[in-house]
Amino acid sequence: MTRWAMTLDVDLCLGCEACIVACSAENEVPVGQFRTRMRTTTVGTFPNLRTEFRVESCFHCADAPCIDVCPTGATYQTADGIVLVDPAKCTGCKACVTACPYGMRYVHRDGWVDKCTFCEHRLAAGRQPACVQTCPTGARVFGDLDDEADPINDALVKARSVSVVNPDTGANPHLFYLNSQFTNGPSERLETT
Amino acid sequence: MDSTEISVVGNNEGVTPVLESWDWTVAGYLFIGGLVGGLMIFAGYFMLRKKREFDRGLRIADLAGLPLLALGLALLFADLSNKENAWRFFTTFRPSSPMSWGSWILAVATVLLGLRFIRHHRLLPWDLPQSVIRLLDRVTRWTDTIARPVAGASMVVGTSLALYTGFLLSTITARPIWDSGLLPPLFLISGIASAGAFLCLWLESEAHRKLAPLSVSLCLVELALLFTYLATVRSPGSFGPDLLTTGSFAGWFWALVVFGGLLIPVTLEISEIRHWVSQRVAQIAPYLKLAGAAGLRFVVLFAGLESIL
Repeated sequence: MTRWAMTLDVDLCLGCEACIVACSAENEVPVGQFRTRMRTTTVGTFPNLRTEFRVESCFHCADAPCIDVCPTGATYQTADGIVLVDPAKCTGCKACVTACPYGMRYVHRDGWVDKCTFCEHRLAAGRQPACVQTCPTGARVFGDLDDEADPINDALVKARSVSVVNPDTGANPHLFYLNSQFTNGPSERLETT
Repeated sequence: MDSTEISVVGNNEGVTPVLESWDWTVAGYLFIGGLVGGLMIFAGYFMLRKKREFDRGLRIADLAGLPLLALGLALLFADLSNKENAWRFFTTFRPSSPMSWGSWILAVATVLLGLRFIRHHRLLPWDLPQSVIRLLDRVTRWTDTIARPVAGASMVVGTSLALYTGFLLSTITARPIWDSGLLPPLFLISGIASAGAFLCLWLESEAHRKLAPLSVSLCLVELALLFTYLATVRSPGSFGPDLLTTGSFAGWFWALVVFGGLLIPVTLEISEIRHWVSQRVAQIAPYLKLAGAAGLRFVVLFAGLESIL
């Protein structure tokens, strides 16, 4: 069984925004709209300050609240854990936009709701998501949590800390931040396998 | 650890930093849905009681129900950003989605309200072809043979409709201020109270006076539910009930919903029952209650969009 997930090592992220550009280009995201966003945060107390870049996109939550509220089945989860939207079924009711605790969905200019797909079309061709491939420092690792030999599990084990954004939502996000000192909510070491 | 957010690149308009996914059209629909649900409950009750004094109230509920529901559906349709797929609501049923339940409840409500509406077709301001009139009369005679089931169904579907407007919000746990099991009963009682107020606008003063004790009781139950909801809503603090009671929505909440929509009307109705004020003065009460019921939906909806975990 495959369980796709992504890690982002905050120590390695330069905040260059190449992932945001690659995502928009790869997925033809309309100008002015974004599937990926970057928060720049200063952590600590002067003079011991550190800047963290936290790049966020759909977390492909294992218990995604956006799926349950969708009235037409346009939002669904694949067997390998990717949360997708079928534009042909989407009515634009925006229940999923409202239900997403992370604000990761938006209404595409063409009316349907859009978000990160983990570049599902590239995965089908055996390629990595565009943001992962373009990252100049290798801050992102994408892989299968259920495959012990996959580099993502190595990255998770070796990290000083593993956290997700606001675990209180109970959504069980599948984008893990490595070595971060800040999350929007309690940070905790997570069991990922 | 102390942290300060310096900048965010990649915000989507209407999502971050401020969620504006639903607007006044949805709030308006929540109000109208509750009102129509309440009217269906009253209509079913009037049909079952078969008392002459309820005839006018039943006719008003029959005539107003379908146009009001059509207005509510128009508001819902206006909110859809991908309107060409609106038919998809009726090709699937997803038990986990309150909106899916709502679609089917609305479909059944439309049929029931339609059956009640067409019996008054002679009151319509335009001439219908004779063939259509004969058809409508036949349908009316048929519905008369199943009057009790229609009345029962009207009450059940009306209750479901008003409850669902609350479930639509309460099942979205990402918005702490909506995450309460008390929102559906609150919206149900508010819907019945607003339907009573709507009927009072059209009833003679004597019938109005007869409805007053029921109206007072509904308002008091609604007040109790409202404050229990505020006291028990899951997430306390600035993203919870404080948004309503002391935060950016406090003015509207206290002035329009609590005082204007509940306390003042209740006081006026009690005064009317006890003959402390003239009926003319007490006639303001239904207008205030309708404004308060609408205000409740607007305030809860918009506060919810600001309320984050």
